[in-house]
Amino acid sequence: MNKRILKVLTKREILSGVYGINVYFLIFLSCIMASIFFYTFLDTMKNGIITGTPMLTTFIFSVIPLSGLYFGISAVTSIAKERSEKTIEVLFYGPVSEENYILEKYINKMFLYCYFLSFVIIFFVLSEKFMNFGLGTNFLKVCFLSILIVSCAVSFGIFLSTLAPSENMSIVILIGFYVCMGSLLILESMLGLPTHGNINIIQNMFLKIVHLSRRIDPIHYFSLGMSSISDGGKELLDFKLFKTSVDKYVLSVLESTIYSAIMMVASIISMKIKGVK
Amino acid sequence: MITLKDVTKKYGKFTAVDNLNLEIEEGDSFGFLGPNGAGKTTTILMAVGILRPTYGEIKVFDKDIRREIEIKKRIGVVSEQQYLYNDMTAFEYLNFFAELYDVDSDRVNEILDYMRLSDVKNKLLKEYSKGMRQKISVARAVLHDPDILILDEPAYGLDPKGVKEVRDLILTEKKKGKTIFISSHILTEIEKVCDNVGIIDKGKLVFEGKMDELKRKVSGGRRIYIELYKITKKIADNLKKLSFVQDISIEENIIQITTEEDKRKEISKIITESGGIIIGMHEESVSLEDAFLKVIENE
Repeated sequence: MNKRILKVLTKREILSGVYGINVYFLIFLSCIMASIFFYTFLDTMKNGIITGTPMLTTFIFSVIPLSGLYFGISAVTSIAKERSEKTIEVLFYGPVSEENYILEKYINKMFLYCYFLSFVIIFFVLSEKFMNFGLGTNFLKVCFLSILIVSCAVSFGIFLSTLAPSENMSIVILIGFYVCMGSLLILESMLGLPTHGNINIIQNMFLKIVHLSRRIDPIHYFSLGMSSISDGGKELLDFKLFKTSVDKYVLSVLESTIYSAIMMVASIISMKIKGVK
Repeated sequence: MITLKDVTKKYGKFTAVDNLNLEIEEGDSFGFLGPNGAGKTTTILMAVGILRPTYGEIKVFDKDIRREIEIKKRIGVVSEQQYLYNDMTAFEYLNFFAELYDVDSDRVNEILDYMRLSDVKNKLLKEYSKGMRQKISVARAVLHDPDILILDEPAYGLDPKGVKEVRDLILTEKKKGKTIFISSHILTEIEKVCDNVGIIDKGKLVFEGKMDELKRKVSGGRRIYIELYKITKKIADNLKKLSFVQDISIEENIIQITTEEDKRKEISKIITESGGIIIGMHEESVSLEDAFLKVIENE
């Protein structure tokens, strides 16, 4: 892998992203959504109802799904789009390797997410000054977790993109994947029902397969991280729970990182096998 | 320099390139001809490492281009269509490739000047006409001063002035001793630029050799027409006696002679010695287009 080439490729994509309109539109949309959440919280507070963590809830339910969806889709279409436009071909006429290309796509998306996140954090900090909701350490934890979640979504998206021959096909693959995941979820709940006799062995085997296959889904790692944070809310009261939540958080970070790394390696292999055409 | 050995490319049951053997030496200017869908672009894409051959071996500078990508720095490629980043200006685009190939940015301005695109270098590429976009593609291909130039339809979409500019650029590169591999539908352009040609049809190489050789092959030798003031029996007999004459026909005061090599000097000497007066002499030249069509028809 050539570091200079990686730098040149990344610079071009980052500049294209930073000077483009999409990331700013996403920031705007996230802020609008967050404002709606804040307004609802303020409204409930006026009525004397105190809700737990408005900042955290807003971030989790507005910023993360929106950005995860955007960066996931943009990763899924990234390589496929270049394949459709055939600009990828011109790059590979030159000394660009599959490793350089895949890594550049990942770095670019992650940089843009951090760029987006910095704007969103500024918005949240400013909002907090006006509304006194309180940010707390969990907010920072969630922010860091969101980077890992987006990393999972991006690396998975890039992998799917290496399989797609065109932009439209990449979206079809993504939808197809989530249809399969949904079916697995239904299958899992069906197989989880108590049954009798020999069928239990087959049932258990299926359940294991279903559990394993769900690990491919990047959303799985988000729920894992979130459960650690929700446990962490009670950490001051119970040391055991605190330890469990920290363990869960670290495990979530570790699993997300490993997942991203595996997806990146899979993308490079897929790209080498499938080629740029 | 570029070697294709028993190269085959299959897409399912369809064979795009069938057992192709080709060798292009350093400094060669090779014209690659063939009808639409003959396998020209597939061959080019395999030669530059974009496509993997189903069977066979491709070597560029005696190395496998798919494994040793550093050698791609020594190759410049123009594709059939212009695949540009439309959100960039011409300068930004060429500068990006200059950085990729580790070339000084002064070279970008130099090449933009040469291509007469300096005035519009800050215009977005999406605003460029087809011809201008093709010029940018050619500029990108020669930006890093490559040793091999692989051009797939380089004159595509260009106006006559643009065609001449690109041709001049290719000829300049040829004079510098660069290896040129060019595929084009404009056969007159190939004729002006290339010394060697290869004709591919239905994935198979049906001819490979010198341009003259191809023309001779289709015309059945060199055909020389001599117009005389008067044709006497002595002149005709003396010409028929010549060992290098393959065929001779006389019609009024014109003699048509077929030879293997250029023997115009010897013929004119014999005619003069036999008392004939030559009014005119010319060799029938077969155009590359005629030769190409004849080869394809025969196949």
